[in-house]
Amino acid sequence: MTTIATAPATPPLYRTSIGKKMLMAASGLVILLWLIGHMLGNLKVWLNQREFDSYAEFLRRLGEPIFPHTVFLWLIRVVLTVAFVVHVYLAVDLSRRNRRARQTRYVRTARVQADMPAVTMRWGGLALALFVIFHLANFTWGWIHPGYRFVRGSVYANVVGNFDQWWLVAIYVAAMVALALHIYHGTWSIFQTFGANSRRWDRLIRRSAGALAIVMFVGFVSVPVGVLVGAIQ
Amino acid sequence: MSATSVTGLAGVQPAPPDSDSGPDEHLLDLTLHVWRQAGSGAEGEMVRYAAPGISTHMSFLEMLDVVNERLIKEGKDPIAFDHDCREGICGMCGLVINGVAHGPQAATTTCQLHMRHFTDGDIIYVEPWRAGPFPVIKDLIVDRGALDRIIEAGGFITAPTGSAAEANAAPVAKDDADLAFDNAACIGCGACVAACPNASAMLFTAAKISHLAALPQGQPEREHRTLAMVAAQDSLGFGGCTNIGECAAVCPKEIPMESIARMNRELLRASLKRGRSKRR
Ligand code: HEM
Ligand code: SF4
Ligand code: FES
Repeated sequence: MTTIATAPATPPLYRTSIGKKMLMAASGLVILLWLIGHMLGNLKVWLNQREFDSYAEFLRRLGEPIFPHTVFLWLIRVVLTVAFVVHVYLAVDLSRRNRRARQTRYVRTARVQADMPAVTMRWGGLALALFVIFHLANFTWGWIHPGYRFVRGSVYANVVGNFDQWWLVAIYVAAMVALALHIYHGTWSIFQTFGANSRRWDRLIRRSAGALAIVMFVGFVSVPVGVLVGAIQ
Repeated sequence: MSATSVTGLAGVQPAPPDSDSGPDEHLLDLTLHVWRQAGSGAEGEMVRYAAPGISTHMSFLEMLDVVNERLIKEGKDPIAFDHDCREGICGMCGLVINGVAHGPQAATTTCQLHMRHFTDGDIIYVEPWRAGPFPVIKDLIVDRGALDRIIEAGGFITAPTGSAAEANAAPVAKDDADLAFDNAACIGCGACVAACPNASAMLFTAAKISHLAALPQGQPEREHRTLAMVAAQDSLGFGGCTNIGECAAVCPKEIPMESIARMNRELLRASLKRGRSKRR
């Protein structure tokens, strides 16, 4: 059998739309793994003030003695920032390609099977990006602290002070709804994008992604709601 | 292909025994809103047509034939639409009917969709496939040559022509043959592109790549085929996949999302292999 003699050059993987999706999936996975750790760490608020504040201190000591104080924490932050930048850059890049491909819109549109999480990735992702900035301004930089005094390092007191206000709780709950939807479609998509999905495994992967989304939602939301109803003081 | 897809020859196959396909003929009075566009550069618009007295036994295309005959008698320009075999095997037909590519019946081409799936008084919107790489030629006819360009990039095997090779010379395991056949069922209609919110051709390309990667004849060009076809669909201006699945839901040949996952896997494999051979 002869093969094509002059194979034209093809672009490297990361230049193809599929390769870009793989980078989105990989960066999404990095963020997701970090989010799982973040959620589990937050649950320590439920123990007591000392446990939670010492957890925040533990993060700064993480990796010692191999890494100096807070270096490992900074390493995580750098990796996470890179993941966010890659994820958002490619989300914009791919979305622009996708919009260009359908310039004339249908007069009538109908969805046959597409579920809500799948079609809200763009707007939900944008909402999450805004939320991440708000969240950092809220608890990391301490720029937004309505009705209480923000004290750097007094993580427990800041959290309780913050979520004594119902409208801040509402913002966090809404953001976690967006997060749960993004995690559901995103987690399933990781398998699909890397070619690890098949008819046989699809249902199990979808259900597991759904279970993960629910666990993440409940775990994250428990803290603001717990403070609001007075279970955490 | 599932046993329920109605792809047989009309009139040769007995009518399937489902309740809505019985012998009772009804006449429907319908209202159509059809996309009319004089040519590829022209502005298009939806035009309303009354379509009274349409038999439930007609196919969707036969319904359009009747509407066109009436238009011609009135001295008007008939609605241009694509079709050829009218038995669900050629992939030429394709209309977006009430927002759904190939209309409301799953696993069915437009030509095999029958009017018994509509009810009296229905308002039906008929639009062409809409995608940047599929420019409208006239009314409901689009140029799907972009799919041919993807095939030309590598969707074939390079074999010397001449007498056919002995069929049993290259044994194929049953599972592989089934997988290849399921994917070879793609008729290149382009409904997947039409239905995708991103006008992506991933399902089409995935079907071709999956088909040939499953067979011994497809092996020599396996990696190059994947790399070249993926590059072609990108450069032709199709969108990317966002794992929504509307393509598979409208595909008349029920090509599954699994095929897209397989194409992704094939691309990863081809890229890794290329990386290794470059370093050597
Ligand atoms: C920072 C703001 C964010 C934006 C603007 C954003 C946007 C997007 C977009 C547009 C997609 C592609 C959707 C699709 O292909 O249907 C996507 C996929 C994904 N996102 Fe995000 N996202 C953000 C944050 C996050 C976060 C916080 C996580 C972690 C839970 C995450 C995890 C994922 C995953 C795993 C995917 C799937 C990648 C794939 O398609 O294989 N994203 N995101
Ligand atoms: S994959 Fe299905 S919808 Fe797409 S071109 Fe092939 S037969 Fe048509
Ligand atoms: S006309 Fe051939 S598939 Fe419909």
